[in-house]
Amino acid sequence: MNCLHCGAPVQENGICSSCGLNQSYLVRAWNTSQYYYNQGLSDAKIRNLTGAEEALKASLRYNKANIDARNLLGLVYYETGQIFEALAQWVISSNYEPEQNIATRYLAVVQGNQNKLAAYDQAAKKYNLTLHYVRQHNHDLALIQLKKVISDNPHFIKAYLILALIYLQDGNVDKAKRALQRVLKIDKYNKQAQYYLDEIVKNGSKYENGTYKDADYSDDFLRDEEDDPDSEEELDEEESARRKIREIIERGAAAEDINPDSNLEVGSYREIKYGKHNVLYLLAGLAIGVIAMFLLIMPASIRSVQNRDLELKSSYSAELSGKNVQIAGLQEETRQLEDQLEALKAELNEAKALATESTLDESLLSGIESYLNGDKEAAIQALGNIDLQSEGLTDKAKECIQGVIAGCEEELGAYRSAGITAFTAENYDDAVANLSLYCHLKPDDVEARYDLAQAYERKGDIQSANDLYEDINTRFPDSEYTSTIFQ
Amino acid sequence: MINFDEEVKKFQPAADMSQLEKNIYENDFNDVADVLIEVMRQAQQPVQPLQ
Repeated sequence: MNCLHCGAPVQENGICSSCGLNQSYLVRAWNTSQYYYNQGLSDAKIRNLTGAEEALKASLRYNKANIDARNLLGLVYYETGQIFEALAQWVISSNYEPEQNIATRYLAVVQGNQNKLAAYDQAAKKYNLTLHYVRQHNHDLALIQLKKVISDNPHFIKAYLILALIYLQDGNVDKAKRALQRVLKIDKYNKQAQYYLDEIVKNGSKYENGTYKDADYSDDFLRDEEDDPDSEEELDEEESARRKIREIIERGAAAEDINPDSNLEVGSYREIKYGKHNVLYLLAGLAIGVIAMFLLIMPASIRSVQNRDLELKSSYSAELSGKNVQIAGLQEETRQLEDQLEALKAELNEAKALATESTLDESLLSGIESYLNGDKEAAIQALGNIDLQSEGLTDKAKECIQGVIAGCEEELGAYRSAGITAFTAENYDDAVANLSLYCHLKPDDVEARYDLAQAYERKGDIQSANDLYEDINTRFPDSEYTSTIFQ
Repeated sequence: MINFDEEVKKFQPAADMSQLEKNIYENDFNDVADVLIEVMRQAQQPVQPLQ
């Protein structure tokens, strides 16, 4: 077991090894402290704050480290408007138990709002000033200060009590009653408020008539006269000054159109109504905001947009010039490719010419060889593949070809006959094949050409037929076949 | 009847911000344990001979 006071080990005889305290006494003290705490808690729950305060103070007398009792005492002080007494209790509490202590949260909440704390401070100072005024019987100034105190700290029951006392002294019994009711709303069993209320119930009419005040002051006057015979003049001056202040305050209240019964705090003093100017302030604020926007924000945003446009333009210009360069390059490339194409075409034509020449040579040689070997049929087929009008053929080659054709007259005649037979039999394909070969090797036989044209016509190859008719008309204008109707 | 001046005398000045520290020290009063320790301390001191 450890000592309840210092936490050191306890000896078998119940005495602490460190502080030397008998633990049985401490246990009794702690139990008593807990008993008063429970009583304070019960009182606080029914809003008997005066009783709770007394019980909790007693609890702390038995055990000053009773955290719950101290925290609750702080709450009671806070509720009765004694903010700095509450703060003191919570600071001590958090000092005893820094961890897991709700007092730290209370402190954070109260100290977190510095404006409110400053208002509480001002309220306490004004309350002290009020006491000073009241002791000098300067009730008007005291009332003004008290209104401010209650405005800053609406739970400050001491302020309500002194306010009630002043109202009673001045004969305002109803106002005094309302102030006391406000006290009892916060602290149901406040002894002082109950005492004043009892007095009002018993002697309310006397207070209203001012008999109490007059009697009281008359005693004062008598005493003053006895003490100092020259003080009468001073008192008259003081009284007249007080009256003047009261008149000034009442005039101010009338100008502000104050209803004296509207609420508890209302007397000759009232807060200026700023609410009616709110709309004007709002409109002025809006106008200033709009002007500020046009003067400060709009130019900046316009400049920003212009800069953005310029940036876009420059980027587009750069892109356009890049594209132009690209187009010029592509055009140059196209021109080079066209030149290359032309060169390749020329090369191709040369190659084709060479190929034609080689084909001509091959066909010519094949035809001559076949003719020399006596195979006139093969010679005719080979010569049929040669374009007799080709520039690639030399005069000597043409003579050779004509020689071969002359030697093959009989075989060529067979082709002519076969063509006519096929034409008669309406076999126009064969007719065209045989007559074409014949006409190729015998281009001056106008009759055969005419027959071939007829075969083309019947076959449906009108273009070839027309070419042949035109050829006949051109080359053989005196022929009997020229009269043939050109189709 | 209420004696105004006597009643006013009962009202004590309220603590403000400047008195918070003083208030804290004043509230740290002695409890039963402190009293017992003080009694024991005084009991252990030698008795001063009367002059």
